[in-house]
Amino acid sequence: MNTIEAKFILQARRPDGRDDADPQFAEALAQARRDPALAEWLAREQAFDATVSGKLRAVQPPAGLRDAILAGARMSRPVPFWRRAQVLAMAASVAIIIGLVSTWPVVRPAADVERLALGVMSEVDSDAHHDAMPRPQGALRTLLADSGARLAAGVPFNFDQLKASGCRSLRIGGREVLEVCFERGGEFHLYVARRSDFSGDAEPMFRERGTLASVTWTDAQHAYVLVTGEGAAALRNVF
Amino acid sequence: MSSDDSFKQLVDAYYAPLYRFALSLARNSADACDLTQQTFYVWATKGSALRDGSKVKTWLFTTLYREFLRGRRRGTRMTAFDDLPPGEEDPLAAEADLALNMDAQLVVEALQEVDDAFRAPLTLFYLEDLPYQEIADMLEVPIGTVMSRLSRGKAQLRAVLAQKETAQKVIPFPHSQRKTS
Repeated sequence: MNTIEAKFILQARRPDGRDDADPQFAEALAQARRDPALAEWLAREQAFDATVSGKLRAVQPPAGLRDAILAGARMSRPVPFWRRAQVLAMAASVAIIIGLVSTWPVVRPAADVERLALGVMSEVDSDAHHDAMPRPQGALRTLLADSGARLAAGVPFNFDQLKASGCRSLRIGGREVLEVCFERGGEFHLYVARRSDFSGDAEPMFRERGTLASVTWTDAQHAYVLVTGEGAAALRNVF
Repeated sequence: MSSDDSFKQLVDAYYAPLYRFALSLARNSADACDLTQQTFYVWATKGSALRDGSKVKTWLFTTLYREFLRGRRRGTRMTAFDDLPPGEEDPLAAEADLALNMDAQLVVEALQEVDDAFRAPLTLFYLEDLPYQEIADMLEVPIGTVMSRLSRGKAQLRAVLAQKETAQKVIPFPHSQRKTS
């Protein structure tokens, strides 16, 4: 390495000595130690660099530049994709569709209580019903066996409790209906559906078809049909 | 830490050195502010793509330099880097003192008169105390080119400083007033 090459390399050397371990600088520095003229040049070079560096670093940015950068970037920063209006609108649409699908049985038009009554009476007439004949259990059994108990006020169990107690489940008009059969001086069949599944008058409606008598009524939570082959009078005694 | 806080920290750490770099490139404060803002704008819109946190500084300076080159390409002024004249051979003995006695603004002005090709590496070298390898990365040029431009840039800077020193010493001759009768 000659003096010109050494100077060329040393001009890129930082004054604080951080580059001295670099092999290129190490060789050029070794040359400077052997050559007094080169050493003197290097000292001047480093002094010049330190002076210019100090002067340039004294320059301060204009007041307000920082705030302008922050404000400008805030305005122009891209909105995360999940916060973009189109994505939000799409997500809302999907949520609405999912909501509609999951609540479909609730929001679709309710069947009429009349339909429930007719469906129940057809069910009681069917052979399938005679094969099933589910019997109540526990507190429900006690209530229904009580000859003094009347069912006009409904039963003190909600739909899910009745279902959990082992009542038979069937579908009438596409809605789920629970059935419980019990004895009280004859065979009686109580059907319970969710009120939201069947629209219609809350007033009790008595019917007779062939040998079957029924009464249909509702409360806030449920729609009921009580059916018996024992006649309308027996039905009224239980109702 | 929120993204707003992170961005503030980033701005606080780099806006001043980026401005100084921009000032040396753009030669005036307004354009330097624009370049600095543009750099952070680019960061705000594309910076999240940078996975290596240790490369943030290099990314910012490289982006500012690219934005400067992009703006210059849109203008009419073009410098063919390879056709630039060679630098001076040796520094004069009193140059350090010469710069020492000047105010910072005058030194900045001298740097701004250095040719574009030399000015960027020279500014990064002086302002950011960066090793030549990192300057090469930022400017996307070979290491040998950086060393060459530093050498020639320093020579030009010395020459400009000397001219300014001479100009400062010139005492304006008072204008003679014409007498009217």
